[in-house]
Order: sequence, then C-alpha cells, then structure tokens
Amino acid sequence: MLVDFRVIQRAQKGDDAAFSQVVQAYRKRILGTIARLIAKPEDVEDVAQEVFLRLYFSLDQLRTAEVFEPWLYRLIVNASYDYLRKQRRRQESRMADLSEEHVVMADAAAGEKAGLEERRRQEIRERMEEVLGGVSEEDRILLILKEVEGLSLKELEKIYGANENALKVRLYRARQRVLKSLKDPKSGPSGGTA
Amino acid sequence: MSDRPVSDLSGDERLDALFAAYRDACPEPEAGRNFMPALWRRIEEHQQPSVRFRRLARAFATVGAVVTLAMAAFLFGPLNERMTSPVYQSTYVEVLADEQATEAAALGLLGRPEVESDLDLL
Repeated sequence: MLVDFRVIQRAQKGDDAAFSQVVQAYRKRILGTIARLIAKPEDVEDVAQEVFLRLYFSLDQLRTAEVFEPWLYRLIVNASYDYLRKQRRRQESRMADLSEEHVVMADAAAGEKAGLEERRRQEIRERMEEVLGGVSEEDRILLILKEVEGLSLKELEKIYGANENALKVRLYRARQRVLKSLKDPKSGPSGGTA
Repeated sequence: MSDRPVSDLSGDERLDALFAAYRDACPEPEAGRNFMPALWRRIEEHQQPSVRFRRLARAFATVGAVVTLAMAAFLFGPLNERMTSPVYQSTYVEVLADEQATEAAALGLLGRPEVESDLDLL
C-alpha cells in the first residue's frame, strides 16, 4: 500500500488533510491507469477526480486495509466505464453531425500540430482504439487491466469479485473478439461481456 | 517485442505487440496545479445536497421524537389516573363486599342478623 492504513482511518473520520494525503499518494498511479483505460489524455484528470470524489463519499464503508487497493481499482473501473459509455454515445452523435471532409481536415490539422514522435504514439493509440472498438467497454477495461496494466488474475479476482475461472473465460472471449477486429478492422462492437 | 517482421507474427503475437506498444504510447500524465483545488470544489458541490438532506432527516427525527413523547404523555396520563382509583386499589372480593354493603344499607336490610351474617361471609 502506498499509504499507511491509519491515514485512511483518519480520512474516514473526516480528516480532510488525511484524505489529501491519500490522494497525493495514489494520484500518479491512478492518472496513469486511467490514461491507459480511456486513451484520452485531455479527460484523464476529470475521470481521476471522479474516482477520488467517489472515494471520498464511500470511504466510511471500508473496513480493512487489504481491500483498499482492489476497491480503489473498482472505483477506477466504474468511473472509466461510465466515461467510455458517455464518450461512445457522444462520438456517435458527433460523427453523424460531421461530414467526412470535416473529419479528414480535423485529422490533418491535428497531425501538423503534433511532433513526429507524438504522432507515432497517437497512431498507436488510435490503432488500439480501433481494435478495442470491437469489444464492449467492460471487456476493454478488463483486457487493459490484464494486458497493459499487468494485473494478475488474483488481483482481478479481488477487483471484480468474480472467480478466476470466470475471469479467464471472459478474458479469452474478449481476446478472441479483439483478434477478430485486428484481422477485420471494419467489424463493429460485438458488445458481449460473458 | 519480437524482432520478426510484423507480417510473420501470429494474431496473438501481434496483439501482444500492440498491447506493449500501447503501454509505451500512453503518456504518464502529471496532475495539473489545479487538480486538488478542483477536486475539493467538486467534493463541496456534492456535499451541499447531502448536508441539506442530513439536516432535514435530523429535523424529521427530532419532530418524530417530540410527537412520540407527547403521545406517550397523553396516553399514560389518564391511564395513571385510572390506576389510582379505588377500583384498582382493592381486590374484586373487597369491591363486591363494599357494593353489597351499600346496597343493603340502601334497602334498609342492615341490622337484620341473617343479612349481616351473609355479609360477614363475604
């Protein structure tokens, strides 16, 4: 744990300084995880604040030190999921409003602004976005936590409250869907979470 | 990542390579200077309705307690009065004997030995 449990207990009792200490300790890690989950650098801070806001109002339910980090990850998962769902809906309506010409022009302008290295990174993020577009938000988050964040099945078990075998099956199926959209980039989201 | 050309990699290997590249392509964001003030502002905004709700709930609880006490006083007052009346202070037999004596006196039977012996039996 990045912070002593006594600090968390003080925060539970309403000590704002202790809560700030918890935020300072976990801020960097949470920002990094959210950045990889949502792939939109401009919105990372906003989602991270949402996570800490939910943490602040639910902290009194925490009983033991061992469950703090899995619980924090669950808040990250939920906040990222909410963000991605909203984003998908927003994107659908925005893309319907813009003509293809406008989209191409916007892409070109963005390309000129960014440096070469940043442009390459941007392309990887976009490629990943495209590939992950073939799976539901739940599967996307699960895959990133496992494959990119490097969380173990045991850790995922605690975060999701599901058993290891069920998670293995979900991961396998999600991976198959991603592989399908890697081979056939035009396939749309297949949605399933089972 | 493998040194083989991308075209030689299997689907799983390509996906693993993409995940690894994605990990490096995502910047490690630093929180801006406004992160904490903005967070506290959001907390306060959320706190206001919950504080108002808590105050309202407390007011309801107080009113409920006062009403309960008033009803208890209202109900227990007459009950207490009734409990101190002579009917509740003596036994059934004593009350019956008193009534018999009153009735006998009213009918002018007191003084007659057979009636008085009946009353003594009670």
